[in-house]
Amino acid sequence: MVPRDDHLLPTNEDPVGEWLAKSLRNLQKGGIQVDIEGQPTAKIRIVDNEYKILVDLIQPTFFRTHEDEIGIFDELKRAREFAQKLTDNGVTLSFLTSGKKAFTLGKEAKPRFSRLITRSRDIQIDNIRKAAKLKKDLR
Amino acid sequence: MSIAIMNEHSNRDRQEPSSQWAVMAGQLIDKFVGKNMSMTYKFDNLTIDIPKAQGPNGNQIGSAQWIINGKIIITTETYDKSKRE
Repeated sequence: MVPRDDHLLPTNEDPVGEWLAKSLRNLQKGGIQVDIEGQPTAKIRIVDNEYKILVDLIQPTFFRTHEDEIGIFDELKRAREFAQKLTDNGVTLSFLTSGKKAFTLGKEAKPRFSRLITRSRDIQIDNIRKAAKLKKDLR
Repeated sequence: MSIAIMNEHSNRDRQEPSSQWAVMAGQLIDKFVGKNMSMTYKFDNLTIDIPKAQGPNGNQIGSAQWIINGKIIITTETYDKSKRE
């Protein structure tokens, strides 16, 4: 197997992303629901012992960061690096809106056409409309 | 695009990935803490594997499994400090 060029990058370049990807692997099952002002805002579900995490952003605008600063996944480069760290740790992270998958990062991402956009084999756009709406809501 | 904005963007591009995570986390915390708000976290059988670790003097600390159930409610309140004094 030919190693990927990006594996030549030092792993300590992003210790926070590395730590986060490793920590997500420790989640085994169960879920968390986050309510803000009594309204469901996000639901996180961990598929039993499969290292798969589903994050349903019910009200994505709550997670919007300042417009002139960095958006959650606005910087594709960072998303690519983080997705690769997830794959390296055997973790799959899917973001959903209204219960439907928008995009998937990590081990089980199987990009086809979306690879042309993301230039990553670790990011799959499951639903282009949902993904675009999510990106808009988070920005 | 003005030169100032371009410079700002290029500075941002040069930011270390770790500091980008910190900026993002800081913005979210500011957003949730900086106003009157209540946040509820409901844990439903959340199972976390705590891996083995090395303690003081190289002692092995055994692994564990944490199971979290229940609810945590965090409420934040803003007030005018100057009026309080």
